[in-house]
Amino acid sequence: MSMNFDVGDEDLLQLLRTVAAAEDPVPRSVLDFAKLAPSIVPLDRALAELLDERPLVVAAGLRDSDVGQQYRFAVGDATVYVDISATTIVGEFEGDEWAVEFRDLGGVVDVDVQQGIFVATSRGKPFVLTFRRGEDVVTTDWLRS
Amino acid sequence: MSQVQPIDNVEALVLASRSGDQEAWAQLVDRLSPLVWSVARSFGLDRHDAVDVSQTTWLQFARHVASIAEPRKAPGWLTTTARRECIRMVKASRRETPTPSAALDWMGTDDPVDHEVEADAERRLIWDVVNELPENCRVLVKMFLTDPPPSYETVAEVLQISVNAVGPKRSRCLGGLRTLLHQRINPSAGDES
Repeated sequence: MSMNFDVGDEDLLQLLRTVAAAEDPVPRSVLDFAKLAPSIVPLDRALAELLDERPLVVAAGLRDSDVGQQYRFAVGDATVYVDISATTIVGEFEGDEWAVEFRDLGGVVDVDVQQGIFVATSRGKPFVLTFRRGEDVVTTDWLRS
Repeated sequence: MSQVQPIDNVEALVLASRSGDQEAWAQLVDRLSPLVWSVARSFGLDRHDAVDVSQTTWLQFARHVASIAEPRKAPGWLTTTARRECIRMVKASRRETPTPSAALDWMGTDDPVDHEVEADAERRLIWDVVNELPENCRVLVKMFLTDPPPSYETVAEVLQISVNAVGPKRSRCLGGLRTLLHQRINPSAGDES
């Protein structure tokens, strides 16, 4: 072992900064989230705004319990049911004409009728839903339960 | 001896962020995230919980940035909020501060190791020793590891001590850390001093 700790306070702190940068850096997910934070809208507030926004139709509280909440987002014939629990976001998709994209901070999760959405996350993590049909694109804000 | 400048234009960044300047907000995040992270980690939270605390803190800051009375005190606002979130999370999870790493156990091996591995191990050991400090010292030291470091005012707010007490406490904590480092990592150098 070779480091010399008999240095002044400022030099010791500088040495520790190097150690901290290697051993415990700020995770990228924190930085990404923080930079998005001003545009992340709480679902409750977003729902009030989204309800007036056609063609997107949103319904909340289809199920609301200790184990999770369910929301419904619909555009045309496409409907996405999103269940948010403490550890996962699970979504089901119905519809033929529209494609749906689900995105969280980890990136895009493909959505299809067979597989739906399954994201291991914790309650409160933001996500955004985008509906596409040809050139028509309907997207939500970044939403957070 | 290095001279670290205090955060000097947080107020300008906060004011610009209020008016929707995304670049200013990003700079604010880059500048102050290490401070928020240091508070979360210094409370003994694991990385997963520290991520939650950090994200919640930034979300709350985004919601309140327009109403913060003194923008220059944004670092204090963030650290105080992070501290409250830490306390809330610790109470909720009742998790204990991690015990000292088992990495200490394999000190003193005579097996040859290559230089890079040895440097990694040394860094890990130093970090373990930092994490063994009493809570107040751990919080203080980790806050001062952010670059630029927070003001004494901000540190005082988090530790709930007077501003005048921060300097002496900083010296005492670093002195204690130095002793621990000698004992655990570099005992021969400690004996010589």
